[in-house]
Amino acid sequence: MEDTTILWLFLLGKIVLFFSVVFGAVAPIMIWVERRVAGLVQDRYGPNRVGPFGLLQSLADGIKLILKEPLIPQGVRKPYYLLAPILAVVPAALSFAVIPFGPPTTLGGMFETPQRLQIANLNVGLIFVMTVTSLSVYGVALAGWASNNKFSVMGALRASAQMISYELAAGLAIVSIIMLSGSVDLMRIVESQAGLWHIFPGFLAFLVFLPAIYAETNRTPFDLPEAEAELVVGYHTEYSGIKFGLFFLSEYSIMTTVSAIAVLLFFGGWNLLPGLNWADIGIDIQNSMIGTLIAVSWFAAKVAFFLFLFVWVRWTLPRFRYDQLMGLGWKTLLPIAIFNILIIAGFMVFA
Amino acid sequence: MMEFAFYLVAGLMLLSAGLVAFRPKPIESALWLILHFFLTSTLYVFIGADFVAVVQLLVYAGAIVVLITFVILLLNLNPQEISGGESIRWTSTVLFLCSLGAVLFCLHISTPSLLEKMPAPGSSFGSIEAFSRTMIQNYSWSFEVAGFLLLLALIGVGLLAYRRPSTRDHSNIENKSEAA
Repeated sequence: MEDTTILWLFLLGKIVLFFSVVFGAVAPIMIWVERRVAGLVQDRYGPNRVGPFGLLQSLADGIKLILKEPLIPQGVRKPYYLLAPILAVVPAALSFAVIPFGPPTTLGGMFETPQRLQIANLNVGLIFVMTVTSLSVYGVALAGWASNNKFSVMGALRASAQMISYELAAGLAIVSIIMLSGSVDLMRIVESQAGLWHIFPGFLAFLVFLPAIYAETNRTPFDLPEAEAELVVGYHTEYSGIKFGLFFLSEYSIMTTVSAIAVLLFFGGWNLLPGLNWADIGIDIQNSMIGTLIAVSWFAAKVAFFLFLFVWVRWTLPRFRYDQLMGLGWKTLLPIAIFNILIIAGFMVFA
Repeated sequence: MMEFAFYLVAGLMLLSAGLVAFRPKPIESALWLILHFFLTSTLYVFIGADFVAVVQLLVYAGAIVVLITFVILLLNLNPQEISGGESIRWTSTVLFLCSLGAVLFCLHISTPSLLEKMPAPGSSFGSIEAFSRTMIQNYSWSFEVAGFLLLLALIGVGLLAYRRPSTRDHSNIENKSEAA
């Protein structure tokens, strides 16, 4: 067995690495990418002055948000107003706890038995992520209510209704993946995709899952909770400074989480290609340090593609109307998801 | 240590349950209710039932209380409207406390004999496999009946919410816009 001190240090290292990467690098870079891609799509430059290609823009904005006067508008319900941004950011941070970001590894012989590149090894990992992302609605609902402003309340109402509706569709799409891999442990789900990625048998599930995660993260074309043209900016209208920054940060970190989940569930996690494993091209991802790094980078590249897809979709598609949003969720995605469970069950019985 | 943790969590559960009942603002009660559900799932974690703990959060904190907050936001209830400012109804309070005491007493008497009859939990206790096997194999009848009841409730809601296309006042809206 391993020395427990080293295991604790390894755990601490994973926590620090993961949080600093997601909150310190992925979220700021995504905000920069979002603005640059927006510029590209709309045929203008986007931020390009601070640092090379404007890369330090997010850093400058972050410093500005932190140094800004902590303004609390008159007439807000103060304790709840202050609690809401925290409730928005905590689920976003919690959901990283069970996401594996690489194969079990000995780190080039540092450990005798392969260690998981995952902060917490819960045997209900996937359900935990679903639970925690569904809790993120409280931050939005409370922010809207505490702001004591009709636009904010409208935004909060829309967010709660939307998240309940699309959670069902996403959950049922995930059920078929659980059936295919026979586990809710994310590590095992990835291992079960060594030969065939779940995207092939579960294509319908992916078609349901993708719009559902866009709706759950309140991103365009489903960003009705903060529809600028109708609601100012919805639930965070009354927020400024770092309190607004926390909402912003939680949006981007939940985006990262759901992109990672999409890769883990449908696109084979860190597996190389469908039908072609790392071992086939002579890379040992378990025992060699470089092999592990390659696998982790490959996983990161796939997640980055999904993050880019989020941005691409946002600046391409217009916003839905509210009845279209509800109609799509309940009348199209939900029946497809249920039908898909039958298909997958048939696939598993007869194939 | 474990016992201390249990009493700590149980005490906090009682406290948050009391706050749910006695806070004047409905949304505040809803927040305490979420905390209560978190503490309940902590108790499930203590006995090793991870799956039930997470499902408790997913279903209650993640869906049901969201609906409750939704309704509270929609109705925008004032604190005064709820409390009503009346004195506590003593008869009903005493009756309630007596019946609660009776139930707790019965539980206290019957628990030791029930515990003896319980099979010892296996090594896989609380895992999804063990949970599903118990539910689908040993209790499949009650599971199906509960599912059927929920289906009936769903149909009932559909019936109540359904409006015939003819009664949906399209004509009315058009008249109004014409008048304007």
